Formats: sequence, structure tokens, C-alpha cells
Amino acid sequence: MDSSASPIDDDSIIQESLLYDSEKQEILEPVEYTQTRSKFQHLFSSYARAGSPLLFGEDAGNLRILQLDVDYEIVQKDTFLEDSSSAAVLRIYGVTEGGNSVLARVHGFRPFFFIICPSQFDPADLPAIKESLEKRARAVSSMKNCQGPIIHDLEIFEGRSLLYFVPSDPLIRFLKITVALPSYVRQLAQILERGDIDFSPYEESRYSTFEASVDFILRFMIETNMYGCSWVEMPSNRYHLPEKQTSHMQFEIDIHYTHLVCHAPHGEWLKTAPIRILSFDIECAGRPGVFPEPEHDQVIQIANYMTETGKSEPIARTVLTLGSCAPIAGAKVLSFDSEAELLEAWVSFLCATDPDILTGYNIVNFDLPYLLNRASVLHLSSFPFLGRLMGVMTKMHDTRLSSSAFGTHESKAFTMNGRIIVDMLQILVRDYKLRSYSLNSVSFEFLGEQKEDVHHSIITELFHGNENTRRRLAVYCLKDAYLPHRLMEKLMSLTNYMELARVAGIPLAWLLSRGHMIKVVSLLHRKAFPESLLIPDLKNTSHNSSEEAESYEGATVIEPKRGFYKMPIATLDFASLYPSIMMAHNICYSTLVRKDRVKYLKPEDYIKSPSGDCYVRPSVKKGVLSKILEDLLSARKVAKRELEQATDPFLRSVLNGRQLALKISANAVYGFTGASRGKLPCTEISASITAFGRRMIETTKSLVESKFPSSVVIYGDTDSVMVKFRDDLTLEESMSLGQQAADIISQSFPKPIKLEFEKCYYPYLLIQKKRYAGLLWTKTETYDKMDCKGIETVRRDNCKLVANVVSKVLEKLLVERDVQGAIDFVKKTISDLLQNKVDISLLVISKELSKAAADYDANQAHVTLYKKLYQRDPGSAPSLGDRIPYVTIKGRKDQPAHERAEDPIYVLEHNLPLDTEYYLKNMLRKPLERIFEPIIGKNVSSLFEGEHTRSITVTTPSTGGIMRFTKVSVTCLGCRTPIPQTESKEPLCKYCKANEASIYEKILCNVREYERQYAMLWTQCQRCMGSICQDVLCSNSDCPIFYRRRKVQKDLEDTSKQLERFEILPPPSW
Amino acid sequence: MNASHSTTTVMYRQTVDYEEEHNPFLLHSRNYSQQYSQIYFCRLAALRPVVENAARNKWTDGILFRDRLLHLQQGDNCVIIGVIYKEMDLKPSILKEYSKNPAEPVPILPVKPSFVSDSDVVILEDETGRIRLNFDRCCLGVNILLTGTVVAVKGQETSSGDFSVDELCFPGIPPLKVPRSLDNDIFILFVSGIGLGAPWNVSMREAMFLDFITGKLGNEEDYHFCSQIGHLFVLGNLLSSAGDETLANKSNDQQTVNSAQQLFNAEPLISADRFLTTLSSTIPVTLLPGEADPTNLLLPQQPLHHSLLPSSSKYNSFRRVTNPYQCCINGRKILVCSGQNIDDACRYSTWDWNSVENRLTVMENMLSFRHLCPTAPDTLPCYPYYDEDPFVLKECPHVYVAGNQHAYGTRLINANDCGVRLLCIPDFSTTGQVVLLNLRTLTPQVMEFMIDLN
Repeated sequence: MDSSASPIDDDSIIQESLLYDSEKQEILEPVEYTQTRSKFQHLFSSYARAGSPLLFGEDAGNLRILQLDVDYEIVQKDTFLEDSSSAAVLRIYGVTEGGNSVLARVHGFRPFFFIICPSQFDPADLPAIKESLEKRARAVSSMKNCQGPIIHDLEIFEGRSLLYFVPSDPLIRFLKITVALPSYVRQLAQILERGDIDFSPYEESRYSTFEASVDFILRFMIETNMYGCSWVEMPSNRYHLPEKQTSHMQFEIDIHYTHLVCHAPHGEWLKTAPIRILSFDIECAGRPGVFPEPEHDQVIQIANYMTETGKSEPIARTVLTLGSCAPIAGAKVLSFDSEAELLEAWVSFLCATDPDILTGYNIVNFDLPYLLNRASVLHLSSFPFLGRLMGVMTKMHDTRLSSSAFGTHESKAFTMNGRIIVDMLQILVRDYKLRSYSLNSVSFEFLGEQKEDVHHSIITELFHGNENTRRRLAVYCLKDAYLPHRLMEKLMSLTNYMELARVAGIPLAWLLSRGHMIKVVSLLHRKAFPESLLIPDLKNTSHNSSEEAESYEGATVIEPKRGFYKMPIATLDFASLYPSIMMAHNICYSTLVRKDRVKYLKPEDYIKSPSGDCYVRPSVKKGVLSKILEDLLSARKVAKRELEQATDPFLRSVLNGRQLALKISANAVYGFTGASRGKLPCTEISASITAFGRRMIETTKSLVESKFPSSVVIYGDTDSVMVKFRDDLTLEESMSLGQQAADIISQSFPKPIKLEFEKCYYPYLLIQKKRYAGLLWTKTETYDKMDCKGIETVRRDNCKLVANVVSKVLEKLLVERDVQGAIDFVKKTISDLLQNKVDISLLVISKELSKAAADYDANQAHVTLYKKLYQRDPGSAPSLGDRIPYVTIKGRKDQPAHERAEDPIYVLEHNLPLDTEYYLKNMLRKPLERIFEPIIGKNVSSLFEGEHTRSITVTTPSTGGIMRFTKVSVTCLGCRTPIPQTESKEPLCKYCKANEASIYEKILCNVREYERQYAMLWTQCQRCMGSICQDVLCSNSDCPIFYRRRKVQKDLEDTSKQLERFEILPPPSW
Repeated sequence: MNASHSTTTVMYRQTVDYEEEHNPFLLHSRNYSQQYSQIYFCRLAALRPVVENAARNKWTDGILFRDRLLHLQQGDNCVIIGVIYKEMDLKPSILKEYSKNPAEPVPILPVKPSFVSDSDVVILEDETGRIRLNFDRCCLGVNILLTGTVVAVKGQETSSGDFSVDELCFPGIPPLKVPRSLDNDIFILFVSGIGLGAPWNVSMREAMFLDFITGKLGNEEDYHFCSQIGHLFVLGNLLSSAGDETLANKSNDQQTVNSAQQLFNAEPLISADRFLTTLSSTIPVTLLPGEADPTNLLLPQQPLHHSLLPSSSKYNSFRRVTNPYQCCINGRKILVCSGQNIDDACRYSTWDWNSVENRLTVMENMLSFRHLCPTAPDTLPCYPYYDEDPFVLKECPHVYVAGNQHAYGTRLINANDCGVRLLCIPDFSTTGQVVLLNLRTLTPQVMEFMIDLN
């Protein structure tokens, strides 16, 4: 089942603060600022971009740049224009194929919007209306200082509204109003909507506006046919060089927008340019027990790893350090005496290397805010200039992105014109569901390497050491700068996002800062406008507010017939279910007929959806949404075909990213129509689509069961049904029946709806709806993978033991088909758990201390533990933002679980007993019951009771509690009876003496095992750390080794002590 | 074989002059709270002056010596000194095992016969940093380099941050004294891998060996020859490694064994005790533990505990010692080990590691590296020494012997105008071979015990 086809894909809202508010940008005098910068500039001159291209002259040729970002500024008097009027100047930030950075300042483009013409409008009144608009606008204080006209143009435009099909489909007259500046659009639209204007002799009190809410940049891109990350060509005889550079980019040109040649991303124009990507990481020296705060704690190092797409070697690997730092092979180390110099040098570095993209791990919410706040604490007025425009301060503000697809995320946004921030943490949180998003566990997950984790309290120690300890820190910092780059490369994030920008036709940065919605908005405008379909400006309040509550029925789930199916289960899927429904039934804003108008249509001209809404047939009018989807899906077919033929790995990654982007975009269209708080919500459409979907699933079920006697549909969800044809079929027979069924049933649906047979589950464990597991087969030779849905394998509030046991049990059940083996395994695990043989790292749960302990309302385990740790030692206690790992130990009777949370290391060191029964009852039992219930039925409790649960081992704590009252005496290593004081040197009591050899060997067995572990674990850590001559400091508690290596030290020491007691005897006398 | 003889002559076994100095490999108290870094640190500290001296004698053209890696400057032609570390993907990695199977407590790692692959990287490290070595210009194969060896490297740092190697210099074979000359032939006997308790073990062969040592085999000439054997070294794996597997299983599978049960099959140990008792009553015996023997796993392995060999341990002629071990017999320094160090070192090269010549080369290299087991602790488990590295060779032995090898092999090398005898002692349980060494001439000879059942 395709998860991307989930109902109501998203509704995303962007706080207004994120929108481009260039008008408010403060322009400083760049003089002082360029002076301070040059102080460090020479350090980085070798990293500058390639030499200059030929800009002018006969041979210059046209300038072609890959557009990476677009923004605009308001110019009071645009001297490029003949009338020097106030205008918005668009800025395209791009890179040439040769790797030169170019800023193209595009002039002359003005925003526009539409209103419906007053009835019985006489075109001769246009000048009069234009004048009254101008006059009305001048009366608004924010517009009165506009140079030149406010209303630049007023024309009649014949078209239709996108929303609703009107029988006989008449053309309507609109007025197209072109204004001086982007901000005027909304102001004027509001005036017109309120009817706060007098267009005598016309008496309309209000005017509905169209397309007034379109973002100015998007408007520009649609008008010039420019896509995201696409190539823009500027004819050599059409552009001019400015008198004075306004940016740090290599070249700047001015051009009129009508001279731009924009290439759609196809064929040759799929290529990319050398994009510079800077991955960086900072280290701060925190105080003991406190997470670093910019108000107090210094920035001590900044590591930078800069690459250029298409080059295998990095352009720069540098680390800037506060205080001397020993050299690092393969990296450039620059040391500074003061933090202010360090920060200033970094700005110079940024300026000299001129990256297009900034990346890192959590830079948006940690590194960048820290740097900016720190600079302001230090009163470094020259620091916050991280963008590409001279004299434009980098400011930070809070944003909030809510989307049902991504969840709500609060984060920071920065004005950093021309540099795109791609925070790998955000990308991962958006695109991958993981147990943990720490850089460690992410690197382990995707790159297969563990990373050394230096706790921030050690960082300060290393910083205050000498040049060698600082070097140690710098190496670590460099690695943290390098890993995000590796992740980006491995996950092909940049390529995929660039393709998405190209497909959706929006700037790259918007994909990261906004939800799915903007992509569909762009596609819709691009498709509708050429057909003269105008998009109405819906007020969130007017159209849908009442319907918001009455949500429509979602997708159907056929009630699962729970069980463990040992025969093949064929899965029939609707390919791209919702897009194909929209295409098949011509569902669109522009084909939807209002209920009161249906009577004017001939019955053969429309389709009625199961939910009762009517859409005209394509023969009457083809829907825009259908066209968008057709384009996307046929483009996806092309991309997939090209992908098959392509051999160049880079082109392959581009094409793969492209086909993915097309699929994502197609699925987003449905979500757009259902997003109640989106730009153009239309419940009729989304309700119709799901209603069709429901009916199709039901039809499929009854068709299968009638055409294939003795077959049963055991489960169905959204876009797929699971069919058991017969009990005794082979895999091959099931597959061929599945194929037949798909072919036969597809015929009963209109094109392009297609039921596909792709896979069989064999065997298949159906637990409940949206919870199942099975071996997935697409060919008869071998299975493809084990497919699990909704089963406890990734949830991070579980301990690893649960995930491990569940996956092992599923493997036994499904792969080995050994039910008894699975039961035995569960019993053995439970028995191991109760006998304390389970490794502690598997029992650790970790939670982030996300706010101050006092701010937590409920008693949570990690908060209670934090308070305990703080009492023990405020210096080493975790701080805000740290993840606190804990295990649950035995406590007093009826002591609540949260009070029994304890630090795993403390538990190891003091031999505290774990509450293994708690783990059994509260962690293991439920998930295992769910899995086993369909298999062994009511009997499931036998897993948790019986012989294997009888033997329980509890360790004796070495401190606290009752141990305070006990006296340590020497006991016999064989039978633990105390040994009399007089013989206290003896390891054994006199009764065990006879068995000395066997007791000795028993202890020896343990020693050998612990020695083996000790050697393996500690050498592994040395390898991972990348040094054999220095101690391992890593505090990465996500690593499976972390607790084990500590535990083995203790175990080995304890058992060696026992062994030594045997050796106290005097050696033989030779 | 004809043992009938008419006259009775009493023969006395020649005695040797056996000196054991302070044994650096004996551990008195063990502490595991420290890590492995210190042992490399100590190794480097001990060998840096040695290798620097060797390098200054080798490269006399006044080349610059950088005292620490951190003082290295790009482009300058210089000599740097550090510990070799070979990054090899095929080394057993517990982390890889965990990612395959996270539920496993601490998996036993599969060990590949060779760690070498195309992605290997050679790194030089000192206390201040590390740098990647690039052997594009150096004809010397990286095959002989082992993790943990201290070397001096001549070359220069390239722009990509590598160090391009021109030449290498090792510490070189340590000094040794020319031993006093002996008047008579006198032999010492080496045997390894007797493997008692293995199911395939041919006990007849052990019996023959016992008969030979005790002078019950052969004719008068044989007896006479036998009386010239003054000492016997048993170099590890007295018990079969099949026994070791049960030993490992026991600790893994403890829940099935309750403490009252007998924990191990005592049979092999009892027969070992009997075997050693018989030997010790007729010849002085030195016993080194091997990988399969019941003592600790980390090098240096400690002497077998007396309680395991209760009867033989009572003999003064029986010494239970560490692995490795060094002593002096009739003025000849003899360094013996049970062979784990050689096995592990062989995994660092692509050579045919069954070839005994290659193994002898590895042994010779170790003398030249002045280290007995450079690959410890990285791939060879060893004790985490804190303030010394006892495996550093301070002086060269006259005889260097490794047990439990695939085949017999020997080489005489000339070091500082004095011969050093290298010996690979084959595994007795598979070859039936033992090795005799004439202490006077340092000439070895191999003897094979075969039973022809036809």
C-alpha cells in the first residue's frame, strides 16, 4: 500500500513572517563593513571561485546561469527604467556552467491581479476607472510616495473563474490591474473587496478579486516561464553591468525581464552547474552542567567542509580555532587570539568562498542562532552579514511550519539573501522516520559508521588544555562538518530537491521553508493561466469555515480477517489511486458543477460521484487538475524510461530524483483540494475522490470474490486489497491468479484507473488494521524483503530489546516458518531477561530534556532522574537539550516507575538490580501478545508464564539500602560460605578444596569470555575514534558498544580478582 | 624397532644450565580500568629513539627530522616517526556484527584468513596526530607492515594531506652477545600442539614420543642420542582446541549448566597431567600455554594453574611459564611463543600464509621491528599495559621459536655478526613432528613420529 496516497495529505500554513518582506530590509552603508572584512580576506583567497568569463564583446556569447534562488527588493527610483519609477527589482542568484556566481537584477516586471468587470461595462470608461483607482491608492499613506504611477495598466481580460463549471461555459470579462509594487496588490485588493471605492457610474458595492494572493516571485516565474533550479539565458547585447557592485557575488548584471530566456528543464537543460556547498559545525565551551548559552559561553571552533558539485575533492577543509591548535594533516587550521577575530574571520571565509548552499546538522536551530546571538553579545557589528548582498544584515526570526504531513515545527529563519540553508536534520526529520535523529545514530543508519561523541563538558576541558587537546577537538569538529555533507551525498538530498523544484516550478528554498501546498499552487497557476482560467482569492473564513468541522468520510478499510496465513496472499493495488480517479472522472475545480446548476446540463454531459457531486465530462471541458496530473504522470513515465537507459551515475541520480519528485507532486494535488486551511480548499472534490476510492475497493472485493470462487478478501486499505485465492495454492499459481484478477477487474474501471498485481505476501501475519507483517514476493525465486506495517520496530520510546525481539520473532515466523522456534525464542529472551542476562544497552530508554525540569507538569522518568543526577553532581549532570538515558531499577514496593529510573552507568557501577519484571510486563508483553494472538490464540499468556519465568536472578547492590548494615567477609568462591579469618587467604573453603580445578576453570571461563569482549570492544572504539595513541572519550550512548565496554571493564576486573585469589599461594619452589 | 639388548649401560641425561631472569610477562595484579592507548604510547616512547638512531645511520644526507607529526609542513622533505596503523575493512568488527544482529550479546567474530583488501589504508600515528601514508613512490610492499610497528618514514606531505613515502626504516634487530662456545653437543627439544583430548588424536603417537624421551625407543645409539637432550619445551595447545570450543560454549550457554554440575570434561586435563608427570620425571620440561589451553586469553598468557595439573606440578623439573617466554640455556637466549602472534601478523599480508618461508620472514621482521606482537591489541587480544610495553625486544635472542605452525621451517639469520636461529615448530597433533636443536651449533633437526598400521 502506498503511504503517499493517504487521505488528506496535508494542509500547511506558513506564518506570514516567512514571506519575503524585502521592503523592510535595512540597507546600511557598506563602507565600514568592507574595511573590516578585508582584514582576513587574504587568508582565504585560494578558495575563491574560478576566474572570470568573458562578459562583453563579440565573442562573449550569451550568459547562462543555473538559477538557485530568486528574491526582490523595492527600489524607490529604478533608474534602469525609462521613467525611473518605483519598482521591484528581482534578483536571480545563479551559477554559470564554469562555476562563476552571478547576480542578475531583473527590472521592469510589475505585479497584477484581476477583478470581475462591473456589469454592462463600457471599455471607454477604462481611463476614468484607472484614474479613480490611482486617486484612491494615493490616499493610502503607504502608497502615496510612489514614484510614477501606482496603477500602471488597466486592461480588459476575457476568461473564466477556475472554480465551478457554468453551463454553456461563457467567457467573463475581468479587469487586469497592474500596479507598481508587490505590496500594493494586497492593499488594493482589500480596498476593492470592501467596496471602499467609487467607480461611478457602476454601482457594485464589492469586487471579487482573482489571483491577488499569488506570491510576487511566483508570479514573475510563471510569467517568464521560469522553473525552480532552471537555466536562464541572458543575451549578451541585452544586459548591462552596474556601476557599483551591490553583492559579494562575482558578477552582477542588470537586465529587463522581457529579455530573459528561460529554459524549461528538459533534455540538455537538465544539467547542473558547479554548486558550492558549505557544511559547517561550531563548538562552544560550556560551563559545567549547563548546555552552552550564547550569553555566556564562547564559540571556540568552527569547522568548514566545502565542496563543489561535480568535484570529487573538497574545495576547502578548514577549521578556525580560538587559541593555538596543532596542525591537522589534510586540513587547514587557522588560530585566532580572540573570539571576535574568530567570528569575523568566519564571515570573511563565507564571503571569500561564496557558497550557494549552507548545510550542517541542526544549523538552523543551533549553530546559526548561536553565532548570531554570540556576535550580538560581543557587539560585533560586522558579523551578521552572512548573505550575499552587501550591507544587508542577517536577521533571525521565528517561524512555524504546520503541516499534517510534516507535523508542526518551530524553527528559525534567516535573511541570508542568495544562500540557501539546507539543514540536514530538517531534511531527515521531514523525509525519514527514524528511532533517533542524533547525528550519531543517523550516521550509523545511513553511512554505517559510528561517530565519536564528545560530551560538551569534555569539550571545555579539551579547549582549556593545550594545542594538542584543541587539535583533538578540531578533528572532532571537522568530522561533524563532514558528516552532513556525506549524508547529503548519500541520500542525494540536493539532487532530489532540485528536481522537485524543477517539477513544481518553485525556488529551491521554498521546498524547505514551506509545505506541500506551494508546489500545487505553482502547478495550478502554470496550467490554468494559459487557459485564461483565473484562480479566485478565497477567504479562509468565507468558503469553508462551516464545513471544516464536518469532515467527510475517509478511505475504506475492509475489516481485516485476522490470522496467520501460511498460504500466499495476493495483493492487488491501484496504481496512483487518487490521481487516477481524478483523471478518470475529470474531477477538477473547473469541472465541478454547483448543485443548483446541474439541472441545466444534459445527463450525458456529467458524471456524478458517489458523494453526490457532479463533474462535467472531458468532452465538455477537460479539468485543469487532470491535465496537471497527466503531465506529471507522463513525465514520470519518460523519466523512468530514461532512467532505465541512462548509464552515467550522476544522470541516473538526477532522473531518479525527478521521477520521485513527479510522483510526490502528483500525490500532493489531492491533498491540496482537501486542505481545509489551504489556498483553495474544495471539500466537494476531496470527498468525491475518497468516495470513488471507497466504491472501487468494495467493487474490487465483490468482483474478486464472485469471479474467483472460494477466494476471500482478507483485508483492504485505501488503495489495495489482499486476496486469499485458495488454501492450497503455490506461490506461482497465486501470482498468476493475482495477475488475472488485476487484468479482469481493471476493465471494469474507466481509464486510467488500473488495478495492478505486484506482489504476494507469503506467509502473512495480519494482526489488525494497519498492523501486519509478511514476506513480500514479486518473483517466485526469492522473497524481496520482510514487510512490516505498524509493528514496534522503530518507535523510540521503546527500549531496543523490544525492537530486537519483535524483529527476530517475525523473522522466525515468516522467514524460517518456525512457530515453535519463535515461541522458544520468546521464552528464552524472557528467561534471559529475568535472569539478568540481557545486555543493559538493550534496556536503555532515552528521552530529551527539552525544557527546564521545573516546567514539566507530569512526573516523567527522565526528569526525575535528572533531578537525582543533579543532586549527585551538578557538574556532570545532563543539561537542557541533552538526551537522558535511563533504565528502570527495582525499588520499594509501590514506588512509582518514574522514581525508579536510573542512569545506566550508575547501575553498572553499583550493581543495582534492574526491574526485569517491569520490562516484561510493560514493554515486551503487549507487542508480543499482538503478534502471537492470531497464531496461538487465547493461549498467548503461556508465553509469559511457566517454567522459563521461574528462575530469577537479582544482583546485589554494592551500595545503599541494606548493604550499609552488612559486613564484607571473604567467602569461598565455590560455595560462598564465609571463610574463617585465619584462612582468609584461601580462595576456597576446605570442603570445596577438592574441586579446586573445576571451580578454577569455571571462573576462568568467565575471565576468558570477558577478556575477549574487553579486547574487541575497546579496540573497536579506538578504530572508530581514529586514533590508537589517545584515550577513547566518546560518550555516544546510542552506540551498542557504549554500555557494554563499561560493563566488561567492571566484570573483567571482578572476575580477575577472583582468579587472583587462587594465585596467592606461593609458587612451586623451582 | 628392536629393543632387545644384551648389556646394560647406565646413561645419564645431560643437564643444561638454565637461567630464568625476571619474567616481564608475568602479571601480578590486573587492572582493567585503563584503555589500550597507553600501550601504544609506551611502545612509541621505547622505540622512537631506537628507530631514530637507525634512521640517522641509514639516511646520512642531512635530511630534516620532524620530531612530531604535528610539526609537519606541507612539501618539506623529511623523516617522521610513528606507529603504523592499517585501516582494513576486513578486520573483524564487533560493530558490524551488531548492526547485522543487534540482539546478540557479544558475538564471536568470524576471522578471515587475510584482512587485506583494496580499500586498505596505511596510517602513521604519534601522540600528536596521524597521517595517511601513500606508497605510490615506494617500491617496498605494504605487505610487511603491521599495525603497531614503530617506523621512521622518509618522504613529504602532499597537497592532498597524504604523506608520500620514499623509504622506510625499522628499528632493526637489537644487539646480542656472541654466546660462549660449548664443547659438547647438547640438544633441546621443542614440541607444540600435542592436542590431548581431540577426537582425532592418535594416542599411539604420543606414547611413542614419551617412549622416545624416556629412552625406551630404538637402539643404543638412539638412547645415547636421547641422553643428549637436556630440555623440553612444550609450546602451547597441550590440549586440543576442540576442548576450547566446549570451553567457550560453556560460558555462552550457562543457563543450562547449574553450578553443581561438573563444568568441564576433565579427561583431557587428567591425561595431560599424567603425560607431563611422565615427562617431568625424566627430563626438565617448560610448558607454555597456547590459545586452546585453560588459562587467560589475553597475551601474555599466564602459566597454567597448578590445580589443573596437580600431579606434574609437584615436580621441580616442571616449569609452568607464560606465553611468550624467554630464558637462557647454556648462555643462549631462547625466546619462545605459542604462535598466535605469527598467525595474526600473517593476516596483514596477501602472502600465502601456509608457506613456512613467509612465516619465517614474519618472524625475522618482528625481530627487526623489535616487537614480539605488534598487532596486539588491535587484532590480537592483549593485556592493557599501562606503564610499559613488555613485548618490546630489548635484546635479540639467539633462538626464536614459534609453536603451532603449519609446518616445520628454519632460517639462520645473521645479526650483528652473530647467527640467530629462527624455528617454526609444527603442530604435533597433525604432523607428528618435533624439533631438536643442537645448542652448540644452533643446528636444528626435525623428527617425525609415524605409526604405520600396516
